[in-house]
Amino acid sequence: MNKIPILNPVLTIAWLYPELMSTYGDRGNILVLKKIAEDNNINVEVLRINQTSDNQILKKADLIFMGGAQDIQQEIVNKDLLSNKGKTLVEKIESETPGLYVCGAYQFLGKYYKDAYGTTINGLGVFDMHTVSYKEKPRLIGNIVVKSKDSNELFVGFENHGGRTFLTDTSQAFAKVVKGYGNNGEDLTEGISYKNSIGTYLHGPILPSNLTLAKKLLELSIYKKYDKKIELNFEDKYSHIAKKEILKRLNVGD
Amino acid sequence: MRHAILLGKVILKLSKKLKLGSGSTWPGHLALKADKNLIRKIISRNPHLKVVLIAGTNGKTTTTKALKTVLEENSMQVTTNESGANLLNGLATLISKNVNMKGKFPSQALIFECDENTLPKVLLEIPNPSCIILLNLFRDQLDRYGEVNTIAENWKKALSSLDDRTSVIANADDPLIAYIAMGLKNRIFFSVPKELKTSRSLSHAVDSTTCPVCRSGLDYLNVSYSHLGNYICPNCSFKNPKSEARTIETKLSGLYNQYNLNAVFESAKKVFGIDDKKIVESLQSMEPAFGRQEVMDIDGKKVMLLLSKNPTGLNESLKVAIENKSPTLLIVLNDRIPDGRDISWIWDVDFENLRHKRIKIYVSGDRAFDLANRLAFANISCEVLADYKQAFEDAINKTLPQKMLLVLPTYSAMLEIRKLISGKSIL
Repeated sequence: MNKIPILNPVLTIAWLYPELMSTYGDRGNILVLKKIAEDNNINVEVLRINQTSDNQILKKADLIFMGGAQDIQQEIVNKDLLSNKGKTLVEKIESETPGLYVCGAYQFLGKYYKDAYGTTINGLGVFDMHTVSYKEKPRLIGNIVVKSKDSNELFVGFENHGGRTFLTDTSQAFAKVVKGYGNNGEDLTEGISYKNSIGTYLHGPILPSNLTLAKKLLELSIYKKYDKKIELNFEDKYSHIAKKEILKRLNVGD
Repeated sequence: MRHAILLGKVILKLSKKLKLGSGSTWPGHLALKADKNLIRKIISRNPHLKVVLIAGTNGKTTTTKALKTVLEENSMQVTTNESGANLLNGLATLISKNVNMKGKFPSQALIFECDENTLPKVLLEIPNPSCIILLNLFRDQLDRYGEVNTIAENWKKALSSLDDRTSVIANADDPLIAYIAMGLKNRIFFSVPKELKTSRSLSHAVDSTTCPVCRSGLDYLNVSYSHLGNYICPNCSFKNPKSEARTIETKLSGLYNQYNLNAVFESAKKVFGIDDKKIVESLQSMEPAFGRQEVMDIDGKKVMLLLSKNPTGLNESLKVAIENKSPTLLIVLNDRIPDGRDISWIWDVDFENLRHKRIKIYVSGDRAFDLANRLAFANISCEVLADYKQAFEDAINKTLPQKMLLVLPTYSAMLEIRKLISGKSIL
């Protein structure tokens, strides 16, 4: 077991709207974060935060995760975020709390979302981007491979989104599209990387398929909380093989 | 119309003769090209034909087979789409195959198991069928079907033009289904007896736990499985409508089948006028539909096939496995078009329930390693053999005599495995 130079480290992971924003196997991300942390002797507390949770609870989070939703659920969440928890969430992101925001969550952190009928829904505006859904354009669905901008590592996942996201500054992209569509199917950008937060369209879910990303988020959280740089270990049995298999099928070399 | 029927029949014969494969969709596809109103015309020529449409995410095939069994046991001639060709072209094939050249149906009942997205299209062709059975709506293949709420909205719109000639038999315990059917003129709600709803908490893979009327969170008093149970909205008091429910003993296990059988009971009774006792007796003779709890004998060992194609289906199959005495389990995950290409859903399945159970687990299929990865994060060990033939052979060899091998495949994997077992193709 790996030794971490911190006495009884504890990480508090906030899982935003686990019932409502949990459409694409999002739970997998939490399971992976928890197991990797625990195998490294880090105690994990998962806070399940929903629309009835107290607004203050989010302040405790060392790491934040929020997933995608179906339309009706998304509406309920939007309401709660705009009127209650949004301000705290923005503060957390701005103060560099690491976080992962997938699909619907990612879109909602942008400036606005214009739906297929032309109605504009305001987002929290912490990410410098906007999303548009066009009536005549199909959803972007399929396996996706992207190349990390920090490490050149390939990440794999599955995307399924009607909205096209446009970054104001494309250099903020989280990754470059190798196979699939990414933010909008045009400019080869995928997701956004802002401070210690990642917004992305990759589900699959993303962390079980890309364990280094899970480790990176945990390491950042420990650094932020304890001011100590650590390297986590994890004995992976199958994730890397699964990734290799899908890359092979999609004709992408690792 | 005649040339369209003829075309359908000829193509059907040809595709059988040349073994072209899916002879259950192509003939109808071409017949509809020749006459796009073929279905409508045939239906109007057969005013005495009772049409039953069966829709829902899980249980369509079993429900179709059960209703067919009951009607046949009670001396009716029935036509169904048994091979699961459940799009409009499947319906057209079924029709061209069975009618004579004058467009007359020999049978008294036509039972059509209907794809979720196809139900509204079928209702445009057959505006007032005798009966529509609405089983449930679970999250399934989001890349193909879209979101559950979208399907529900489309259904509600399509059903709103029905008149009281159509009996809608709807699941009272599924909030979305209940909501869809509540406003209809001729509706009958079914459920299962309360004592079978033993769970107190919802599983992770639930969808419809928001009130369809006011969008507040629903409170569940008890749960059968997934989001089915007794619910009430704390805000607007939306709750289960009054329903008919009984326990029906058959060869089919699983609580989900009690729902299917109750739906069949109401349909046979209210739409076909068969009496209670006769319905129950006929159901006892029913054998499982292919791949749905179908049991086969291989070298003195029993193999049960349990199609498991979405989180709720797989969760229920795992319950069957856990109740079985130390079985071997083979889970086969494919990501082809009929399976849905997105496999994220395996993370919504409660594999954790398999912990500390004496079950030897094999995984296989196109995405075997992703499945093994899921199990590893649930602290469950398994053997991975991507080649399903090898996996099946190893699994059957490891199964002790008198024990059972349970195979849990996605749709395309089910067809492959069954072909392997029976040595011949079904479709």
